[in-house]
Amino acid sequence: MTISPRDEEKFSRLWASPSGLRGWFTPVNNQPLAKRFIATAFFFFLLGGLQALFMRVQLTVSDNHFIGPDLYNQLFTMHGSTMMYLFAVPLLEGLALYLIPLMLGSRDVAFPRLTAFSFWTYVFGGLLFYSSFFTGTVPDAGWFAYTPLSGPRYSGMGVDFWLLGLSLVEVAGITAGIEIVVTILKFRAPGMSLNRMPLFIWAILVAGVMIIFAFSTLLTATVLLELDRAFGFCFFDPENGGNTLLWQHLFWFFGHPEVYIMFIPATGIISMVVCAVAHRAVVGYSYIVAAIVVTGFVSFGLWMHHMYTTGLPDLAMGFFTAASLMIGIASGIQIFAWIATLWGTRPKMSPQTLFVLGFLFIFVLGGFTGVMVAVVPFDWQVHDTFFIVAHFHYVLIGGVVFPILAGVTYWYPKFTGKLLNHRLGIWSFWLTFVGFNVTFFPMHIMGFLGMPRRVYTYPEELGIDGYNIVATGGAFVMAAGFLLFLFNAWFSRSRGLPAGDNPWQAESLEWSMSSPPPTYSHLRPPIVRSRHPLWVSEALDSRDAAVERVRDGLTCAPLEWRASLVTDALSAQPKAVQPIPGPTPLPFIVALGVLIGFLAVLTKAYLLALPGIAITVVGVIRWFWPNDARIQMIRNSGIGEKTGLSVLPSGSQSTVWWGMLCFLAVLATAFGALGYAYFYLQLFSDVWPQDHLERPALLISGLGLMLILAGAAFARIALHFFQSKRGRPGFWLGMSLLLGLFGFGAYFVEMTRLPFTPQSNAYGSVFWTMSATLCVPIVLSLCFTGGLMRYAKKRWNDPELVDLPFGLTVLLWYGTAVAAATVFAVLYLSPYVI
Amino acid sequence: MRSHRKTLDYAPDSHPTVKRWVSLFSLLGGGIAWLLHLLTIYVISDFGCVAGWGERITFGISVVSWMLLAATVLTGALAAAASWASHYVGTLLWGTAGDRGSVRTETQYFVARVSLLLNGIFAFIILAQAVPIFFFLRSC
Repeated sequence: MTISPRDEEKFSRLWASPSGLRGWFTPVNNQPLAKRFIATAFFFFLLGGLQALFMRVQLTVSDNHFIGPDLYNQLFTMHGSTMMYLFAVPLLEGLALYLIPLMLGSRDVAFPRLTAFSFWTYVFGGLLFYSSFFTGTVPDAGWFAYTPLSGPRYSGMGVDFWLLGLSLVEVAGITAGIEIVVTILKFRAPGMSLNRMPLFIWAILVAGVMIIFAFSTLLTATVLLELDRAFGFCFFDPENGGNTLLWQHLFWFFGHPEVYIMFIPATGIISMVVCAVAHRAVVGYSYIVAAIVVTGFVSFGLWMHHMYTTGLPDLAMGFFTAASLMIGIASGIQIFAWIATLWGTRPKMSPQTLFVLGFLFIFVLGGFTGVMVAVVPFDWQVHDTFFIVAHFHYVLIGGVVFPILAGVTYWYPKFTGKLLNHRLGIWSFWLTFVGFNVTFFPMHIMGFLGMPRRVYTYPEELGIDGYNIVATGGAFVMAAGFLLFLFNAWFSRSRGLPAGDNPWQAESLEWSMSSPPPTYSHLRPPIVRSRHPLWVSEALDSRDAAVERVRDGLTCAPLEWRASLVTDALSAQPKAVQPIPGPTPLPFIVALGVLIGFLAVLTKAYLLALPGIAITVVGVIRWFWPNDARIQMIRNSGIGEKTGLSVLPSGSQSTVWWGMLCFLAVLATAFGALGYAYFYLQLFSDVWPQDHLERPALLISGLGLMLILAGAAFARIALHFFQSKRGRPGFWLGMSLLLGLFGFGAYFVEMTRLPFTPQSNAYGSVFWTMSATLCVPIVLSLCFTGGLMRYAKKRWNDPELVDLPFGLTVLLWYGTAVAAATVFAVLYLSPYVI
Repeated sequence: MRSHRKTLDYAPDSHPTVKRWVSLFSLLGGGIAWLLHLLTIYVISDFGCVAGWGERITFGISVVSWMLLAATVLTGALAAAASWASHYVGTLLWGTAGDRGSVRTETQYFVARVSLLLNGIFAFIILAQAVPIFFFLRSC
């Protein structure tokens, strides 16, 4: 199929990001945004590294006062938080957002505006976090912010900066996670069935799902702690029935999967690089996929092994020891698969090969010490010593940073069109590798000798000055390695050798296009007939007439609007053409609105929240409200006829439907965390409800539940009539709205009758918070229903326009019904049963 | 380099159909069993030990241990059943996956194979997590 240069130029202009000042705030393409993610993450990496060097200088000799205890507390808090929240996860998300469309054969990610929103909330969160340096209120309660240290009694405003900045970063993480999951499930090239997906994509998919659940838990926990601090709630206040260990449970339910959220994508990078350097398919593809999925699952069941010293029952610790040991099976499968792939090959010792080998060496050592600390008696001995510092740096630098450096080296030619300087790459590897081991290996011994972590100095009598001097020297060597790597990236961008399209003769789709790739990624949708499309001749050809028709219809087209092909989640069969939005400042504006709201909470100037909320609400409505003129243009473009596919997909063919499903998963996790908090507090309370309060009455709340359930049922009936083209769906929707409003009213009346406030005790806090959280899905359902009635009023005879918002509204109602039933069961029924 | 399948045929082929619930059970059964096992043993050990059930001895071992063993047997059986289901689905699709089958069949076969691995690992983890019970038969 020939493409005229005029069309190609027009197509290129359609997908281009704006330049100048608008170019800063309006682009939504995955490539520029992903590059910004990566650059920002490396910037935070430099800041975090600098903090680490200051700490190392302080610890070089015993009884040192280069840094006082207060600044030391701030530095280790900022270092840990920066590396965990602002560097590793955003960088991997950036890498994924850049590579996913190229590897999958799509033109962009599923929700480009959400990518932009994710980026801006990430930047705002990071800025808010670091602005604490300017106000002299730097967070100092550790990257884990254990209560009661982080509670209102023992910590100042620094923890508020930590909680609110972090919450913004969590929102960024969750939105990016949703983006990643939906894109992978719905935007794969025809033929790229699940069994042909690159292993990096598998890893990112699992990590994306994990982000949705883990980050939602942390977001809930941080909100609870901020409620304690700002509004006097009592979740973590033992004097009022709260429990400080509840924070640790919620935090580590996020914190442990967080390690794997970083590690799993890193394993995906390793699989891709190993495959390219060995120039053979990775051994045990199915086994690696199973290992990734098991790791993702089981990582959520290990949180308690961070809490062995908190007085848990021995029996419970036994279970978590066993589970912690078992996750080694999954890691072992991958390690052996990579070794088997490399076995017998003679890979060139390029920087990326060296980083892979360095990863294998360091991560295996970190894994061994991980098995050691999974065993309770050993953990008791080394808990809060430098042995743990050594262990998790071996896991995180070896298991995450080395693969990141391998990945950046491997894909750098694709990003820039240039090769990284080989000699500088080799030097940076050896400096990093040697520096790392010299820094962190002695820390195992220091830990055995009793050096405590999170303490700004140590007495000379411990006899560990020599180890510390060596470790500090190593830290500077490692820092030199990292700086040389970044210098190489900067230097090679202008002076590097031209890379060509596929300098490594690799097998995945991203190497089939020019380096750097065009912003639209694929001019003609590719076909995938093999797991290694570039290694198998004819793998990119199709003999399927229907698929060829779709490809022809979308080759250098449409020219007036952005679009990508939607395929089946299982077998990647073409299903629809999804319109994609172009440049817009909306994500920036909405993120700004959210930031203003957070600033209002931080400064306790609550009136300031009103403009923030107004900006956010108006922005979101504008974001979601369908644009009739654009819809008509899409319909009249003829793409539907050319491809034989719908250009206004609805139901499970629409990416928005999947996005809604992910949003409901976020809500479900929040309710799960609150339910856990409720029963945990109950478990350790002498009487429940606390302070001999009456058990909640069932009448009005039960009525509220019935009304909400009826509202959901009527919404479903309305959809049934709409789909069968009979009856009056508008009437049933109106009934649904009315019942929902009455249900909401019943809950409101119930809340005004409660004889306690959130500040009364922990029971009151959890009761009010769970009830208030239920308002979120109820209000959203009512807004969606009202909006749908308004939108559909003049469009009932055009079902294609109404189908998608109708499906979303009903899906939301289902979620609301489940949430209402759960809240009723936990808050109202359980006190009568348990 | 090993051989690679090259199918790109979305037309329905004549492979035996697998019921939707069997496919779903074979995919998710092991994971759900593991999740249920973890939640159950965590809740039983925490609540049971705080409530003093660890000291109540029945037929030689504590009530908590009996409950934990029952939870292990039930969830282990669930994981084993899921493993069998994925093996069944894989066997059913074996003849049609590969060069003669459609992309959909090939994918379903792959999912069945991975599910078998997953369910097997989950069943093993459930058994491993039950080992500590035997060290605390009469206490918490």
